[in-house]
Amino acid sequence: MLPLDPTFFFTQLANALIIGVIYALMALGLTLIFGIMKIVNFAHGEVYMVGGYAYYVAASLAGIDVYVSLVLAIGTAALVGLAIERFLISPSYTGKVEKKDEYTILVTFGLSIFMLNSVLVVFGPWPRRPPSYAPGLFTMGTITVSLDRLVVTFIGIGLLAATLLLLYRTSIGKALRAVSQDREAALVVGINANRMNALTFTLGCALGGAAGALTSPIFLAYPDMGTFPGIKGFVIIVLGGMGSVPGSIIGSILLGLVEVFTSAYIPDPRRAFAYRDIYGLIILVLVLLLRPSGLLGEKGRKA
Amino acid sequence: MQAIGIIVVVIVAAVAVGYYYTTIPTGPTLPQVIKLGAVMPLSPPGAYASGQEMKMATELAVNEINTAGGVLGKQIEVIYEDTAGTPEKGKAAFEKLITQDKVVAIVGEFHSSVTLAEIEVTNANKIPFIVVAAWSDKITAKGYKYVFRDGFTNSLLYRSYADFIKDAGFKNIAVIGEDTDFGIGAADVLKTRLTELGLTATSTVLPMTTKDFVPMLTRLKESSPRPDLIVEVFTGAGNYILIRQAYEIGLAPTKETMFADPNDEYLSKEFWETIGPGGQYVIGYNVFSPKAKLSDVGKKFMDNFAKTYNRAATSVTFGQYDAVYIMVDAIKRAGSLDGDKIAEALESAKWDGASGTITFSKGAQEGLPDYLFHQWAGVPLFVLQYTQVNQSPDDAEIIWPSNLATAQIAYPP
Repeated sequence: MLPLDPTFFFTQLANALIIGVIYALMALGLTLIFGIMKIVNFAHGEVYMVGGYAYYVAASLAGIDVYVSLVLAIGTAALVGLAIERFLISPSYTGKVEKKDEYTILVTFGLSIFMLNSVLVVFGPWPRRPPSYAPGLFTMGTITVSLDRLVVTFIGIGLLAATLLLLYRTSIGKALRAVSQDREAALVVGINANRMNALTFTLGCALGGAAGALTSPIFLAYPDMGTFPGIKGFVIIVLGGMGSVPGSIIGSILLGLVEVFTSAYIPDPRRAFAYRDIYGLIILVLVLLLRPSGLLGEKGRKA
Repeated sequence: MQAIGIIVVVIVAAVAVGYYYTTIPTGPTLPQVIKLGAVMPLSPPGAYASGQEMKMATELAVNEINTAGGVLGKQIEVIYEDTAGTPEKGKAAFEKLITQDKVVAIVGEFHSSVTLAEIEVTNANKIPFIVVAAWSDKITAKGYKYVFRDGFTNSLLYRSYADFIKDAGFKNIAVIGEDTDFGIGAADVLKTRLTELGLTATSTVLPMTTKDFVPMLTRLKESSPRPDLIVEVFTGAGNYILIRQAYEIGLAPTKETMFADPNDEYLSKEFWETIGPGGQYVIGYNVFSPKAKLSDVGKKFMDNFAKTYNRAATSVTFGQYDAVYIMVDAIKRAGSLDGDKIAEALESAKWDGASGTITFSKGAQEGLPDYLFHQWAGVPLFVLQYTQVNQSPDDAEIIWPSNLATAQIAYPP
């Protein structure tokens, strides 16, 4: 029936890359926070939701230009991130709490429930659809993808590239990586680790918010929109190597490819679609069997 | 100064508590108020949008009943419980309602998986329960004495829907369902019945959390022969996303492949907000249509609902509204708050409600299939089609059953 038709193959390939980039945006923020601060942010899915709703408020309710709205949404998510870091996370490393790891798990988990239900109260349960970044279809030869997805993918790639540049080509990035590799040594050479923490969390939340704002015209904005992407984000972090930034990007693209191509090519269509999430997890298990620290993970957990 | 403040607060609190306890009823056969439980999903992972609509319909019915004097001379108090769409929360909610709040009866519910856990609690405690919008056949097929249903069952709705599909001339149908008791059951009924009717049908069950249907829809588009109808049984946000993505990749609704969405989401105003032009030509269903004859009760309910909540009534709101009234009527006829007496009164119920005259059939005892035990077998079905963008369900054309149809099925150009 389907199989070797090139149109079908390239359409699915385009889909896979698009989904991979969306996953990468979600996972990168989570990876930064985990890699540099050694904190698992369980509220990351809700930051994604904040991005989606902020974009909806700006673009749909206030009628602001979609790209300006995107910037506003990213800014909102960043501010929310900064506030969370200052008020809720910072006690964990300023010596105010005894059990740092348990504290951050509980506080981010509680925050996630709080944020989700707050949105449910404020915006109600109905799903919302903010305006597209670029309505219509894009056709190249026989391949057709929605223009919205294409634009979102390019913006996503831009954001990923900007983050990588920041990390690997600036002195701030160098400081961030230093904190990630050895916090005490970084302190010794005069890096303000507390400030780096605030920066990391803000940046991570900005990326999560960007993912939410970018995908909300495609996957809609509703209160629990972040729950599932949040779980995917954790899978990708483990897949990529616990805090490795390039690893999480490669892991995201790999997950996108596996999910889409299993859906497309496994002969029995019912199995192909129904077990889509399982194929991703099979890859995770395989990678962990062969490389227990993940794709690009190292014992020292470098960022 | 601060000490005085604290003393004042303590005194006020003590007086308030004392007042509260002195006004609690002590001993008469009937309590001050009659307590009803209402259960629905109000938070994720449940279908909280539909749950909210059911809560609205409950409020409307109870306010009307209390304004008209309540029942047995008492006012009704409703205790709402959120099941969040998870069986263990639903079960805990029922245990709380029955043992702590001491409700006399319960109405509501949306998720079949949750209902199947709840009916065990309600049946063991002899508390009558009218199920409204959970459609699994198993709920009534168990033959429980205290469990009734005034909404569809999967078989009742989708067997008829399959008849419509055959009458409309579709030949090759792809069914897409969510992986819940409801979705799996519905996809199964559709596929079985369509095959019985001599049509080609495939069914695919996807995780309820699926957000990207494009790989699968692309595959359907490229398959040969391409299906001439897609029927989706998905709830929540996934319902809208699926239609939107099918439209965006040019799969459906098109001349080659039409799209049917026989779910409650079809009727909500978010349908157009989220899908946009892709919603034109989509086929759905409703339990009422102003274009057909609507009962006076139904018309009044529809107007009141729209006026109070600024959104159109959907099929779950009709079911919930009627369920509250039927339960109150049964309490009235039983003249008692005893579960057995209310259940017996429900068995002989004949209520002119918003969706029609509701009675409960007795399944195998009347030679009917077992899922028709304590089930309203006459839930009306109108197959509708949106012929314009942003059309309201009230203006959608009725395309089946043929004796009530206002138009033929319309295809995109």
